[in-house]
Amino acid sequence: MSFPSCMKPAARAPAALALAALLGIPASLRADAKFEATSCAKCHEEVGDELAVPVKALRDGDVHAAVGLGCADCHGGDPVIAAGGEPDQDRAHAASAGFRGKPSPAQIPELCGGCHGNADFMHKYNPNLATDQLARYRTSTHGQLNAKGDVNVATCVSCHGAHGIMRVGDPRAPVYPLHVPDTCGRCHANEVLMRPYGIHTDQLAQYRESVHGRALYEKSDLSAPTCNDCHGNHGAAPPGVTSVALICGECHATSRAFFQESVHKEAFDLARQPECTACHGNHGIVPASDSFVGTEPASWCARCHFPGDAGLAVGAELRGMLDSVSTEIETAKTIVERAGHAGMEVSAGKFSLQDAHTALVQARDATHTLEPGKVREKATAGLKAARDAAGTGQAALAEREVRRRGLAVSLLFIVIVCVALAGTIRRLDARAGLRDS
Amino acid sequence: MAIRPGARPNWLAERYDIAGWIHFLQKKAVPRHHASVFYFLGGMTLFLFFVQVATGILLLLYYRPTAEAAFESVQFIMTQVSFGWLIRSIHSWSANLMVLFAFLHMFSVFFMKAYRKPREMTWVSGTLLLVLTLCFGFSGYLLPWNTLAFFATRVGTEIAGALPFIGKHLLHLMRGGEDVTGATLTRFFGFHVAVLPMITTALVLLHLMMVQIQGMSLPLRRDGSVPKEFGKRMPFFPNFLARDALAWVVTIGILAALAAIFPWELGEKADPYASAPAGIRPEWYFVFMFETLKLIPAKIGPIDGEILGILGFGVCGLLLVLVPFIDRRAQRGQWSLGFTIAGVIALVYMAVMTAVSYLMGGPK
Amino acid sequence: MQEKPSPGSKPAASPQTRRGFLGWLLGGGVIALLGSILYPVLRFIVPPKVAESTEVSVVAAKVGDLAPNAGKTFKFGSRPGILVRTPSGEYRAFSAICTHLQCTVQYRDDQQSIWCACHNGRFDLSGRNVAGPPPRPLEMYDVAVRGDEIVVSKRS
Repeated sequence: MSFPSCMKPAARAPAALALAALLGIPASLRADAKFEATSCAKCHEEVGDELAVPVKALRDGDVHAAVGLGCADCHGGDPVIAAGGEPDQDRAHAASAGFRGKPSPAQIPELCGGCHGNADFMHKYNPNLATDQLARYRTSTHGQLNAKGDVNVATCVSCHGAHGIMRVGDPRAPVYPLHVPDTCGRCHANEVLMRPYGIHTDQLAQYRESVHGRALYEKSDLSAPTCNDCHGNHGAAPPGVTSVALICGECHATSRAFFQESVHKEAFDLARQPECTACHGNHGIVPASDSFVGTEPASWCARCHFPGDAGLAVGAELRGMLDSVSTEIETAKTIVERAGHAGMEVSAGKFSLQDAHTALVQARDATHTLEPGKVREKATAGLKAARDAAGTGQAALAEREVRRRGLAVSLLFIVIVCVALAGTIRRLDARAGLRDS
Repeated sequence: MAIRPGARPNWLAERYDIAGWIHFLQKKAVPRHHASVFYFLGGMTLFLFFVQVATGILLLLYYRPTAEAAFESVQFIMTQVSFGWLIRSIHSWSANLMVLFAFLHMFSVFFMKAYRKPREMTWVSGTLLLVLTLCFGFSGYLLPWNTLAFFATRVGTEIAGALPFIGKHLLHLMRGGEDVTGATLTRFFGFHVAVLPMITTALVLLHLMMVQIQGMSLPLRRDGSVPKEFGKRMPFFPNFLARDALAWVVTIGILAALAAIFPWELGEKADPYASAPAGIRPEWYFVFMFETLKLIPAKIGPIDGEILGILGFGVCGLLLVLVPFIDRRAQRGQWSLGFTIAGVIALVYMAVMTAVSYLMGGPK
Repeated sequence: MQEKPSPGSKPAASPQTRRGFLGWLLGGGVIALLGSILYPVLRFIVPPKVAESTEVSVVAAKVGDLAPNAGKTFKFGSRPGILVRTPSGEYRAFSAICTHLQCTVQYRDDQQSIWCACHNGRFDLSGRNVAGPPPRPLEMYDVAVRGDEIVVSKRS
């Protein structure tokens, strides 16, 4: 079947190039200069519907098109339009010109990796871009299944898109940190897709409610971990039992260090329990609370320890220390705030409160050592700072009392003067003969 | 000072021919009638002005008029300087009391129609002094450079800028630029401590001199007569002055109590890039105008509502200054019902608008 | 008019003594009142020990307090600051509030950098955020050595 002739003025391509030259932008860097001039773009756009989508995507901001790559660089074929002629589908789609058509999922990794895995080639475009993505992909669960012929599993285009590919730092990209959970969730939150693999699909929902998810979505903290920070992106695989702590420890270094020196480390290793996630969870990590430590049935200690055993006693001791610091800080905060509202100087108090809060955070962190001595060190510092703050607040309130007493004294003098003045006024009036009215 | 006759001649009298002045002052007498108490209001306002000058000069020893340091310097005064809290709080409270008493003085003079001949210029200088007092309040409010003051100043100057023809220039002059910045602060400081005090002092002296020369006016009653006096007039020196002194001492007590029990807040340092907090309101004495502008419909006919409101207030202000020349009946010594009613309406309007804003608006 | 005292009652104070008493009361009261006004004013005029607001500038340490490759936190107004002496001996000062989640940072002499314990964030000796979650560098302050005092002030 011959392609409907595309009615494009033959002068369009040269005009576009001339415009590019006039604007001083090298033709190779202007997307429309290269791919717009191809027979692919012209025909596909004219046909419209599904086939036109790639053309629009490339035009909207595609990182490949921006550096001068076009349709034929991935799909093969002959994109050239004969001078003065019309786009010819037979010529464009010729197998002799290397036309591949739409690559299958099995072909995609090697297709992308053909350039992105070639360090020499990538050096031309972006010397700093890594070139190990394909190798990592092949180690991942996705890559292994893809090599076995699974057509449903994720490939490069599943996350990056095929046309309209944007850089990771571009807020519109599906792999921008804010969008990563949704991109992974497209498959991993889909019951139907995941059932054949036996993978549960509640991770995305859990993540959104988690402390990391809230940091990402509500506080726009782009440094908050998303799926790829723990699972890897190209080499995506669930972290192993031993590697979990190492990964959490990338940010939570002190907690990891404390845990490694604690008695729990050996116990968890023996029980083949992952270190952090056994208590904190993996996707639905809730904000830490003092109630995790202690003897209540809902505490985390009680998950393994029994009433009366030594471990639970340590938990009780740790909780007691944390509670005492918390209470002291709350009391101090109330006093300092009251003094501040009364107009007194409380900057020293606020400073001590900041110190106290830091000490409390450090004490909470130190509970991972499970050694009351280490926690007591920080708790004591916290108590001292909180008491200093309370002292400053009390001093400020006492100063207010001093002021009121000073006021009372001066009011006394004022009353004396007023009484004396009133008497003097009567006397003056009498002398002036005014008192007979 | 040899006031009593027969006292030995003193050092001054031997050098300066002030006998005539002394005689004149001894003769000065205040009429006594049922409305005499209002005669104290002017002296009260003057006393509060002296308190402002004194505390203001003291604050000048530590205050820094730049956007970077102003807030910190006021905080320094409040927290580090001995009795800094006292001086600053008295300055803030006394400012508000001075505005209050200036209004009370103005209204009492208005209702007693003391502006009638021969006291027209006393009234004119008085209304100008009221305007100057409001300018003192507006410029002084910005000086601590806290959030509320910053945004209130921005809104206030914005309103001035809405005037037709002169608005844009006026806005530039007031702000020292396009927007409220450190330049505005320095400029307001200059107005507050130099320009306004200079003009005010001159006008106050003029105002006082005229009052001294002409003596106190008697209020006009409905039938055109003046109230019956309770007999002999009270000598100003020392009887009335002693009463003034009593009122002033009581005021000192009230100011000290207010400063000690309700120290003036500092708030937070102004951040020009933050969005305006909800419920921004100017100082209470501007609130009635602010609320009016808020409630005026956006357009009245072809004219912008806000501009109409501003012009309206401007016209009212002008009429206020010119009252002695407009009130024909009072000029003839007759009681003018229309003007009394207008005054009552104005008073009620100001009170209601102020109340509406505080009851309906957000937290200060 | 003086009254004749009735038998059995105490003599009423004469106007002269009343006037004298009043005079003393007024004079004494006025002096006391003036004193209670003048005392705060005079105390006000005397400059406080710390001449400048600690929000704007503060003495962070004395020369000799810090060895090279060491740091210490100090109070700057109501917020913590960190004074660092680089291995080459230069003094630098920053806000000690981590730009990630506002924990207080500390100096790590083993890493020659400023470190935040909360999430392992790291800043170099110019305050730049070089590792971990912090999104922005630390706010930098001006340091001046006056005599034997190290004075830190906000950048204008």
